[in-house]
Amino acid sequence: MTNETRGRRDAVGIEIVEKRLDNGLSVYLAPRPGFQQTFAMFATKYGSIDNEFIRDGKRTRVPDGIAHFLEHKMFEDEEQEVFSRFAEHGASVNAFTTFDETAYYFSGTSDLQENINTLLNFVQKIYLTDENVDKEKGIIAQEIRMGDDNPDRKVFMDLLSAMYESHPVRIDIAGSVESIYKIDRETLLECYHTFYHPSNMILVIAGGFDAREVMGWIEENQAAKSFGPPPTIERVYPEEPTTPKATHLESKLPVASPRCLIGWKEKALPEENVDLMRQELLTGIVLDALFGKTSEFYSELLKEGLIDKGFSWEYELTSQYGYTVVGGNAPKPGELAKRVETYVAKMKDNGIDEDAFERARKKALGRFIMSLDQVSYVARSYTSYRLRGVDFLQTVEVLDSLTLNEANKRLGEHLSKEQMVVSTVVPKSAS
Amino acid sequence: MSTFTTRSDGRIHVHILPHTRFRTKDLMIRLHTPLVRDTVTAMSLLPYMWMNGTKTHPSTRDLQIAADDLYGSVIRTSLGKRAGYHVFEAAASIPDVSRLTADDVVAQAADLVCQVLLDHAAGHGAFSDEAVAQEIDLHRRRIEAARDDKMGFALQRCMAEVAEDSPAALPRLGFIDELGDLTSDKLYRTYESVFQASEVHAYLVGPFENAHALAEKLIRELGRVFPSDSSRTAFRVEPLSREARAEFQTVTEHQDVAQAQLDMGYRTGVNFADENYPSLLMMNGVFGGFAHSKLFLNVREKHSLAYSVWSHHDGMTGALAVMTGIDPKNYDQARQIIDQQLSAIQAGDVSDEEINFTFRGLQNQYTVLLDQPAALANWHYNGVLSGKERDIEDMLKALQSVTKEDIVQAAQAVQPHTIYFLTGEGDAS
Repeated sequence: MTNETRGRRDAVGIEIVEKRLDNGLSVYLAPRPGFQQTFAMFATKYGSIDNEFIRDGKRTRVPDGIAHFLEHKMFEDEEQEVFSRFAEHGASVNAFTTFDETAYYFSGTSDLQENINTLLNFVQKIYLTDENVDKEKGIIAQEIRMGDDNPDRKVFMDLLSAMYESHPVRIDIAGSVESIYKIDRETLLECYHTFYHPSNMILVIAGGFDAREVMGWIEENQAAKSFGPPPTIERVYPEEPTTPKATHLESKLPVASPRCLIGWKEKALPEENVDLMRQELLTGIVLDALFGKTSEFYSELLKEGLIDKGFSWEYELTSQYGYTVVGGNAPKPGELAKRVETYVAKMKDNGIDEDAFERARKKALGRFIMSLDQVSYVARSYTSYRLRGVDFLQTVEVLDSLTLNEANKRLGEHLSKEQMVVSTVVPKSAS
Repeated sequence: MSTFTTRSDGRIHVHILPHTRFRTKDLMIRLHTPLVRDTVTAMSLLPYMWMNGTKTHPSTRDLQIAADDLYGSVIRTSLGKRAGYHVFEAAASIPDVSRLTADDVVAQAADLVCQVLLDHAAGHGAFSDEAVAQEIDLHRRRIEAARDDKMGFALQRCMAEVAEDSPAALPRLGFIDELGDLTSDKLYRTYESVFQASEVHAYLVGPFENAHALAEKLIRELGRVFPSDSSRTAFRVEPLSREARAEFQTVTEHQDVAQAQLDMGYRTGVNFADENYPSLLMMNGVFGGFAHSKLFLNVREKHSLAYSVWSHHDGMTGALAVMTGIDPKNYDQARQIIDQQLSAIQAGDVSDEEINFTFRGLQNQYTVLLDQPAALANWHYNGVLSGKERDIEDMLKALQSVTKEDIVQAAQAVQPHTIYFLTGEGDAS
């Protein structure tokens, strides 16, 4: 066993015990004394964007939505239903797929060793038949249909497909009803054996347990299994222009309330992992200062009826793609987009107010502290940051080091007119 | 750990649960008042109005700045509905920043919550003509936008049918066509009537340094506007009666949807306070509360008819609902399979394994509450509303002692009421 560090404490008092096992699996344990619950997350660095790859020299393009399809199929087992196996030990299990991650997790308050073993075992074993693959298509088709009725999802996916010309982040994570019907057992197996090797996965557990004991169980479980050498994986992503593909996209849906999202495509993709968190937190503070509920702009828009209280911002950043999204329900989408554009231009000239910057930073700090009370949040955030090579617990340190100058610089470079995209969903009856 | 201590004065009650394990301090003030047809719309606007400003912080922005300055304390109001009652809440989640600052963040956040609830006057903040006009417009859009969440909309429509002719059938957000009649004067009078009508329950949950002193302060502050009235009886929730129907009524509505929503509503006559509540929870777990339940295994796993299929029991009204999203052409098959699962339980087809898994699942859900102090306040509040406070440990013991016969009996008491089907414009049925 290598690379063990113990007792590292961050500024807010959480200890992380980490270890990389011989088979390549990275394990991170966050014991929280006094907690009843344990939340464990077993994740692979494999998401919907990984639809083309070269494994051991062989290049493969797979149907859209396959990572998500595989996530569904992992719950299949010859002997006992996976759900039942967790139920037997009082835990609930679930999973999700994002653009760049597939994660399986359970939450439980007892029988921790059994549940950890079950989690590791069901994800590290695959049972596929042509029949059970076909059966899943009906279920996933209904999941996609459910999304089709969701205007918030539609307006968001439209935004990304307008922003990105060829990068698969523009494609819905679940794929389409057409693409999932092209998925077969063999391709699922190939994806599984490519991306579910322990060296491409991490296990993060947070909650009320003894770290030494839990690490022992994990090592024992892993030592009893053999995995081949890690495959060499080259992920193939298409060449993506820096500027957006389109400036506007409008869809019509049978909705009561129009939606409008205004986005900026990130041009500064981080080279180093440590830059990623810094850029993410800094951009968050810029956006909160500009568009948060304490901004004058928000009050004006609300007063004029251009937004409602669900108006919000979001920033997402990986080494592959990044974007800012601002918006929500908007009775007059065109007008809202124009106002945002003018306002951003003005703010770039005037600069962010120092009080607004400090307030946003203080708020981010307080919200981070409160978030640590939820072991599920800690495990989820720790996992997705770690898969991007970042330590979530550095949040306080990074927040403390941000400056107003940097924030203004970020505002200037990121929220530029040529990177801006507008996506709207309008009621079907509207012209 | 889950035991609250309560300080009361008249109809004001402060429930305290101190703990030191977490970094969030929660202060919640809840008022409940009976839903009345004539005032439901005006009442439903109030919690949204409160965040529009107070005498001390006359705009939403001023309020938000004050909250963000308290290390991002979340100051919020919300509008809930429990059976035939509106539940208004003004609350704060406050980060424990005692290591970062000497300021009394808790006292300031508590003041802010009290101001949001109490510190209004006609013409100021929340009740200025301008703010009222803005909020009426937002509320109209809020009601309209609720239709865009198909699953939520269908469930609400189904539950309203199940609660027919009772106050529990009234919509939480009120009626869109009554918004035009509201004025700032009318709303302000409605606001004042809340002080006369409501029962008040405040919660202090978390690492408060002196929770009891804060409780006393809250009682004093609230006592100024919620006058003591010894003649009134407590507002308690009753479950919907079980008389009703021998068969389902079917309500079909059409919208332009890609997926149809099939919701089946039942009455059980059993709510949180009932001695059969644990049996009903176990029955619901076997039926459709979990991924090991009959509905999930049969509707989804065996027949691939749905991605999502659940049953849910409302601990206040005692209504039970099955919710699923399907292809409309599968209506008959889905309905038949759901019927079969309930009939199977009623006929005694319940395995030891199903009972054991369901108990373990519920045990997990309740034990997890101990890590979520704010959720414990909800649990306690269910007891307040229904008139029977339950301890989590006692609840777990009660669940463990539920037998197969109890589950079968609980299922036999379930009475069909309404099938609500939301489907595409061109679909028949």
